[in-house]
Amino acid sequence: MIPKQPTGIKGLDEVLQGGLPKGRVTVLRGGHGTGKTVFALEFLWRNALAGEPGLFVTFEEQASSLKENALAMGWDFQRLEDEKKFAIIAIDLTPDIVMSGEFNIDGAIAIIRQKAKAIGAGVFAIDASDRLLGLFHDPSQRSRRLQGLHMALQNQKLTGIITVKDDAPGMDQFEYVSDCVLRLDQRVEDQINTRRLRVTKYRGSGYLSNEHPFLITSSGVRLLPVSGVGLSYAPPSARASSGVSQLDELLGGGYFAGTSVIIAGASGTGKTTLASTFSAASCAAGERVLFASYEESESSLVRAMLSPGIDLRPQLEAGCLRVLSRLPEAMGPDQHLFSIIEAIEEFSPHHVVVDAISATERMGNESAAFDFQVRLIYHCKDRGITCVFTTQARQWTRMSDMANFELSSLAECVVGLEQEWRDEGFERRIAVIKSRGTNHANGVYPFHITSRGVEIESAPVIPGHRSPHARESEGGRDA
Amino acid sequence: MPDHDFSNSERPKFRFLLFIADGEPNSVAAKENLRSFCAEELGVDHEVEVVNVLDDAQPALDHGIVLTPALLVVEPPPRVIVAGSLSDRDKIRFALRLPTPARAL
Repeated sequence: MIPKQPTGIKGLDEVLQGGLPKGRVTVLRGGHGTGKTVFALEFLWRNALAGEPGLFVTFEEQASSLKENALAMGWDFQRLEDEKKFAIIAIDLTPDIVMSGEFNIDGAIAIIRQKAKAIGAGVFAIDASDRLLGLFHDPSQRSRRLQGLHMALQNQKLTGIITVKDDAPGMDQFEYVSDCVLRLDQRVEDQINTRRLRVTKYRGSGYLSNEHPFLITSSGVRLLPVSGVGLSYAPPSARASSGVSQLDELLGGGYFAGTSVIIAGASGTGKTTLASTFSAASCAAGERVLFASYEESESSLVRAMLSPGIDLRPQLEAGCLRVLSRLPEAMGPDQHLFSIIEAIEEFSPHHVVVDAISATERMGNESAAFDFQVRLIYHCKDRGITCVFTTQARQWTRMSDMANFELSSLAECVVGLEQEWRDEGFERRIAVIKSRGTNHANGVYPFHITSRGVEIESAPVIPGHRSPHARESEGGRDA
Repeated sequence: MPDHDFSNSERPKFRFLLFIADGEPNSVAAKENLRSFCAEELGVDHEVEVVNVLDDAQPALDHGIVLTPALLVVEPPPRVIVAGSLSDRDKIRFALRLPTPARAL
């Protein structure tokens, strides 16, 4: 493994499996407004905080406006400069330059070298290098100067980033000489702005391939690595009560802690009630629950749950329950994912409830929603957090079709809810459609939502019903 | 009689800072090209200070000079930078707003 320099940027070091190649130059390519400067600045900021002084060179912006913009992210470069942990070189290339004969960039290299030496810099960033190299109109000259700059920097044994505009001519050369190349990209799909980072090259090191979404937040860059999913999770053992003792029995002891559970059913079948029952029971057991509500606000959720006798208020007050209420349309799936993951990191819940995961489709398109779901599941799985997702099935979906959606293949357990109109009113039914690794019941049971919560009848309406996952429910202990 | 006398109020009309990376071919050429240009076209009414960026880069930074060699025209104003080996005299004349001599055919 080659030596690496952590960037300190959330998620990036994970993608780079430790950081940038130490003592080498990394090229950061991207179009206008993709976030190159922010990446470069944050890299220097985090390193300075870690005790590694840095040098920032720009050919585009004035030092004062750059520092001002950085301050908006909470990065006080002026203070670092005063403490001699940071230096900024802003070179204005706009004054009238008349060209007469051949020239090179030894001046720039000398300036960088001497400034770096003066503050003992270990890291650097050169922003908008294409502006400097754009002074060379002849392509072969440009690529020679580029390689010269690269070599001179490499000789300094500094670790650094050079940002380059994507469409800058002749910059492909850079990719050949560099050991590490990152590409940023920003696009709008379905009116949703998404930013992505991709490692296109990393000599001598592994890295997470794929395109990794990132956000530029008020506190810097936040990257969410799309990991090659390691399927090495320890098999679940501990059980978490669903909050309904009869359902725990049908499940063979409750949900498995740290796994994914889906409660599927049409509108009005009692999904939110069942999920809230689980939340309340977990809180009562001394565990923390993050309840992400994409359907209603915290207050209307609390109010709605009072009728089936679930009072969430004391748990909210005690701090063991937290509601994250977000309008799906309010932002794109990436931002939603960041927002829930940030809440998870801050609150470190034992369980995460999402009501309803099907609402994520309104964050963008179907594939973006699925991406959100999968990544949330793996994020939780990595941390041993139970996921309980409700999902809206089409009206009158039968039990047998309830597990017939993409996400169910990723869930260890699917509980189906259905209702049917009878002369005496709706009859609600519940079934454990699948529950991996358990000896669960596979009948369909009537249930009621009363002022005391969910009550499941002991006699099944369909005792011998085989679930679509017959293999897994083989030997199910039917009543 | 404005001779070599730069002593008091009499400043030369042309004052230059020549930024070089000492030893580098373009810089070596620039020094020589400037010397002959001044001698042949400016006479004695000039002053050149050579700055080796490899010794001290601070003056280059102060003047925003990143290319070498580069000639900074200090006097007369406005401030102009002529970058390169100064092989093209027309460009220097242009920068100094001197007339281009008629060429012999």
